[in-house]
Amino acid sequence: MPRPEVRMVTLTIDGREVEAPENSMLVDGAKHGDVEIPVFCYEPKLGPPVGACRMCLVEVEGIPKLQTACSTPVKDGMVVHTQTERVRKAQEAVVEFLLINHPLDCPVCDKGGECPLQDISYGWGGGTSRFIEPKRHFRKPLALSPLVAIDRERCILCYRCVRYSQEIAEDYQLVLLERGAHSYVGTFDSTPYVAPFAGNIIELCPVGALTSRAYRFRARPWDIEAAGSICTLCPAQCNISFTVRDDRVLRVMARDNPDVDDGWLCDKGRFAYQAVHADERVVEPMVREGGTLRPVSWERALDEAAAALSRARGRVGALAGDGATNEEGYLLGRLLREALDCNDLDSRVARGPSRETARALSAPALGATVPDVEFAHAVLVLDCEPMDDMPILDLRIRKGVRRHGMRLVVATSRPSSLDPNAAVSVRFAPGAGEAFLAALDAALAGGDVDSAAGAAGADPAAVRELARLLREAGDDVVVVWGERLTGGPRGEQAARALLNVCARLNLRRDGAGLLEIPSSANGRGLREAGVLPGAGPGWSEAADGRDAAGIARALAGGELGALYLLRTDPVRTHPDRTVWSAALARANAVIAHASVLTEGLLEHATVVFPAESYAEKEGTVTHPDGRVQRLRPAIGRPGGVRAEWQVLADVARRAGLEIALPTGAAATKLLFEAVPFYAGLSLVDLAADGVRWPERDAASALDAPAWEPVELERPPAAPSPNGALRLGTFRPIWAAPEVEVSPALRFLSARARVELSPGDARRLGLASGARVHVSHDGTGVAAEVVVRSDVPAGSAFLHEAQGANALSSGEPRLVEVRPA
Amino acid sequence: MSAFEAEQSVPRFAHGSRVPGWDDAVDVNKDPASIPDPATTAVPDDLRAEIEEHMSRYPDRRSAAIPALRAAQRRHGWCSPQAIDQVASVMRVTPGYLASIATFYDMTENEPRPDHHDVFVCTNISCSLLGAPDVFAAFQEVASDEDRIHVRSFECLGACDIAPMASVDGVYVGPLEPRDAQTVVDDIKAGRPVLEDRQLARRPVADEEARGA
Repeated sequence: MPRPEVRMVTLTIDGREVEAPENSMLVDGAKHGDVEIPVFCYEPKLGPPVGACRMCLVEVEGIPKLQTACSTPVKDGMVVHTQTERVRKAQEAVVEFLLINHPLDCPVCDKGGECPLQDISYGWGGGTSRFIEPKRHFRKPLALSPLVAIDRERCILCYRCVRYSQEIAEDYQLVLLERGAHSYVGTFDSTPYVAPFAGNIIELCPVGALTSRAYRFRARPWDIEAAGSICTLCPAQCNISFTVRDDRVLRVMARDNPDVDDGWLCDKGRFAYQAVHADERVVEPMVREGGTLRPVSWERALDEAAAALSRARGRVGALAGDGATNEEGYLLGRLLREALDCNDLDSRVARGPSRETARALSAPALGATVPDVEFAHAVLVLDCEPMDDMPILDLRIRKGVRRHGMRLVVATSRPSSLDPNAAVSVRFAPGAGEAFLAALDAALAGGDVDSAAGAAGADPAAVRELARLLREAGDDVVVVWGERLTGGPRGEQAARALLNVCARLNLRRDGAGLLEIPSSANGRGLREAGVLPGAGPGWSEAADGRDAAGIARALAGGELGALYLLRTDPVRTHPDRTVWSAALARANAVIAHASVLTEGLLEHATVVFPAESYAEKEGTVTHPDGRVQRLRPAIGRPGGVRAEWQVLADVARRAGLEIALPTGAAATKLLFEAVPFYAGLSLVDLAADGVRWPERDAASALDAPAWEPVELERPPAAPSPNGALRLGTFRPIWAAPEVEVSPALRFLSARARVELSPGDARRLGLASGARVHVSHDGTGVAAEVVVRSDVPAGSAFLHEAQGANALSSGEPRLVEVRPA
Repeated sequence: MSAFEAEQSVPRFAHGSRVPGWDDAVDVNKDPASIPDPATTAVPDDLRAEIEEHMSRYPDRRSAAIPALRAAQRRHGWCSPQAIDQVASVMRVTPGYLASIATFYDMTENEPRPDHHDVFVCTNISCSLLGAPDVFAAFQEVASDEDRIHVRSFECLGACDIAPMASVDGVYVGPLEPRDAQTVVDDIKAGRPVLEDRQLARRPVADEEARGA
């Protein structure tokens, strides 16, 4: 539903006239008059107030009893008193009550010093208690999960964590058991509360009842500093605050930005900071000598890298990914294009659409923002799994459905975690996104749905129903789609079909549009910085070059001699693992920026530059919705780590290209000058919440004319299983090197699993947990079977972990599944 | 982690916790309890049919949680983790959601109690005014040695017209006097209908026309 209109009204609080939004809760309205009303259970992010803790009692003229300010909406002409004797006594009584069983163990409590209960006891409590009976005592702390500890003595039963689990994460795992004075927070049958967003309860708890096991007893609030930055572990780019003590990151907290993350974090974002200080981290430059990588001096590493690149001048390929900043992408482009006369560089994992089509897709008028997802009439989740690809967006979509009546439609190959919230879910064969879009286009235009739906392996009636819903839900439709849709040899056709659908739904309007989830954390920024074959900074025209798959083939075939890897390891992350392994093995030089030696680098890198972690980095990244955000260093770089912009400039200088870069900010300045639609941005503007460039005047530099629907090619039909299985792959949220090297998260590391439908599992004689061999054309991987009743028959979904990308490629494939 | 999980007792106060569960940590080696997949959770057909029938009566399927849990309890004897898993699988909700309901309400059993009989003695206002405390005390006394007879007080059972009353395995009997406790216990042990002449089900309705029909 569209955003509600806000009307300002005047009310009187403590004798002062205050302007506040009508129907906001008194607690929030009072803030407009600088009046603080104490609360425990109230947290607007959790949805409607519950009035459980009674801390916020105030007097409202005309109402005989005291009212809870958290659940009393502001009305015009209201007269409110927060400082009367009656209110003071009531608040003191509530504090006294809350403290009846709350232990006075503040000196050894992790929350001590940053605890709302402490603050409120000091501010609004009586200071004494009439309660002389012994308090309740329990065993403590207890494990609630490997990440969270629970101290039930301290719990004041405010319900925040339980409401979070039920109404925000919607995992319904954390519940209140028993009743009345016996109530306690727990889970079913002593199962741990493990879910992608479970860690948020630590931050929500207003007392020390839920604490981070990774942070417990590591620091007190007066030991630490907070440093705001951006999490670059996935495309969601949540705003975070590092808790730093003695130059070490000890904790990550959310830094609420309603335009990006709404104040939530996933557990990867919350706990993977441990990778910054992991033993596995590369902190010295290394060069391969006698088959193994050995630490060397910076001079030697830079010289060797520059020499190898210069030798291969004209025959160098480059890839960038993960947390590479816009500046690094820009410098990499200049290194390749200007110093090494090469055009083979890519930040996508597979060939995307042509430059013209890609520009049309990223036209500012067609871009949707993250809050648009929440307030749209309808959202189409297309060929992506937000929970895995951009976790925090999953919560935003759920919020839209739950609170604003947004209609959700899902069109994916693999069953989505959003299916239970969706009005319609359509399944199509893995890799048949183009055919599905052709069918949807036909359904919207009144054409022949059946043949395209047949090619997509989708139910034509369901496609029609989905089209009807998108048409009738309202004007504001947002399409959330994954980069894989337009990756691969037919990416161009898929992108055209998507543009057709946008034109038919008239998405060039505020509140509607496209939101692409790129495959790497700063995918959008790297593209805009020019890390693409055939497109320079700002989608400018550039000499055509090879895409990622082309680079692999050219390396394996000896046409390219060297490869520059900026924070990516294609053997681990790109499709066609075997081709990449062969390509890296054949390359004369593989120069990598890396913080962990993943398998491809360990075996094949010839020079490794230690990469900065996101806590040490400075620069900018671009959110999938176009928001340019600023990374700021929170801690010093460990060991011999140098700024990566500096390393790139040093390599370029040695290769003959002088880029004057006295500071990191100078690199940002060069970038902003090179990308027309970033023109006029400054680091100061980006300081707090970032700036969404499509909303600035300079955005006209990328404006594309409205897309006129084109005649689509007939999409190829998805392969028919015929006893084999269609292979779909996806990368789980936990499949990341940072998860593997973070001690707290290691238990979640993704395992190779293959999901089968019950029918196929029965036919193959397999049950959940069985070890199998999944193979195609002689290439195979080992995996463990998971039988899921919602997997469509004829498809198998492989988790991209432990080398499973050996089987994935840009094209639809059939695989055999046999017991291992 | 090992020290963390180690058994720790807090000897400072003997009274400690009286609530089962308060002192329990989770088993971190278990899988988290998300919605059980029908493909891997076997549910008896008749139980599934009964739960689905309950679900069909409500616009929000979760409203069927209580009757569905009662159905599973009849089947399994109590709301065992397996019973809750089966209900969760049919209802497409998490076992945690059902556990919070099962532990909240009185008539769902969270401990196995094979072959037991429930005697709920109403002690709410009407029954109390007519002597329920004495009836309850008498039941407690005569059943104190009976392992299989479970006596507890209950808030209003909604049968004030036969106050003071009790529910014996769901059969309402009243009005009761303290000395009836022994008869009830004897009837239960003998497997006879309990206080047959004073069962609500056998009581004539007040409306004469209805009685005649």
